[in-house]
Amino acid sequence: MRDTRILMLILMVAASLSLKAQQDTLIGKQNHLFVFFNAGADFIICSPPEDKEYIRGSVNTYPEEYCFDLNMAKSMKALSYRTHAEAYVEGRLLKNLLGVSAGIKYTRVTTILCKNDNWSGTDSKYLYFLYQHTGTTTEYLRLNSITQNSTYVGFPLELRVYPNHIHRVQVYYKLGADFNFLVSSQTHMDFFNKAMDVYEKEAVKTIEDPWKSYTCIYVAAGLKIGRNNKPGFNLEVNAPSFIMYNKNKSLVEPMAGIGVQLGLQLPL
Amino acid sequence: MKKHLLLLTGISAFLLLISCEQELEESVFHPDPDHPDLPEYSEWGYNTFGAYYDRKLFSYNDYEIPAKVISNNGATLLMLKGSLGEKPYYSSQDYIEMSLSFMLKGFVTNDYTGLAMLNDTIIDLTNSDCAVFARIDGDSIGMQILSGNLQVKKAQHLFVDNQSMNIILSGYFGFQAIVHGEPITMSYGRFDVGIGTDDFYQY
Repeated sequence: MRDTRILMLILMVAASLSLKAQQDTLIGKQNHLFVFFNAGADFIICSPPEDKEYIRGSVNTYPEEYCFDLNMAKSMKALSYRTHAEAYVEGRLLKNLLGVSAGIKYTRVTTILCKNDNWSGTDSKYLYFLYQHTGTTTEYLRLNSITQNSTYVGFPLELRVYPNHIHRVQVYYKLGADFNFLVSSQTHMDFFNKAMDVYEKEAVKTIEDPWKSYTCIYVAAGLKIGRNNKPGFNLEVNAPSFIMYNKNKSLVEPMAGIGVQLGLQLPL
Repeated sequence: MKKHLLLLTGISAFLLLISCEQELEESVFHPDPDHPDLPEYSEWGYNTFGAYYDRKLFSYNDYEIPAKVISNNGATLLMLKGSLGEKPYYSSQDYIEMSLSFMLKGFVTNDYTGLAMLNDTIIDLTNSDCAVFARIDGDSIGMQILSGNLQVKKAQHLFVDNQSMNIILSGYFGFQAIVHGEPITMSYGRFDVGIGTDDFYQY
């Protein structure tokens, strides 16, 4: 519900800015300010932590001596991606060579932890989750995966360089960072035995909380399609993007990401 | 129809249980940071053990069941079985089979769940209620213990998805003994083994 409200707010701001841009274009005003509306996704390469206090280790999926990637030998696999929608205003400086922008960003980060695939396919597909230990009794639950969905509101700051302009296509390079703050999160545990779903509410308390805040730094290259001072579309590839967070323990450890985004650019 | 459904459910449940046990019976090796050829002490039921027999490595391997418990004649025997020396292949000429058994006289249990009583127990191996035996390359050895103990730091009754699975015994051992008239030292011993219905014997 809260996420929907934030998305609505972004869309309303976007709509009002778009209207103003159309009015200004009609009266032929020279523009040095642009508004962008973007949406995209980043796939984040994660390191699956091997020493989780609540997951029983298992036999390595590959012998380490045969692994060209150390993660191949690990018994857990971590996946993470983030999708976003953003609106921001860009001011052009130095004869449209440089663009400086700031805005607001809505991000949803999805993180999944599950068992690594075994090369032979003979091992089970589940992990053993330490649910409870009381006295001399220990209880494990078989777990297919843990999924954590977190939503953030962020503030992107970006610097764009527009080195050349070829007809209606403009290439640009970007250096940016966004500062994100947690709005809501939900953790879901998918148990192998569905009868164990009754323990989910208690079991998720063991899982690490998502980052309260994080910063993402990225470089990107993009194409703006459209005439100068006219509305246009842009396509960007972020590679790489780095996530920094101030928490020692998290469900997975992000390393770097790669992403794409599509956007609409309107002169103000 | 109902009969078939019941049978199918029964078979599925059995297969699920079998697949579950299979993974819990495998050995998971996490090296000790100080002695990387020994398994790190753990309490997850990783089915590993290791110690130094003087300077030789005595540890579990992938060919033998690492631990068995035998209840017989008013005594309980905890047997750790593996090999002596650097982990060789089973078919290698260097393969030396070795087992080490701790006999606890007076401790009796009718099934594996009774092993939970060993939780947080230190057993003085010089006590007359204890005996230690070894079998090295087919040679049975009664060890005359000079000093040392067996510590079951944790005994946990493990349930997986609410089903009793096994008892995890985790702890340390170390002793000095006379073997064939010569003193030996068993040091840095640790174990983390699961004992289920298949590994518990009573006769």
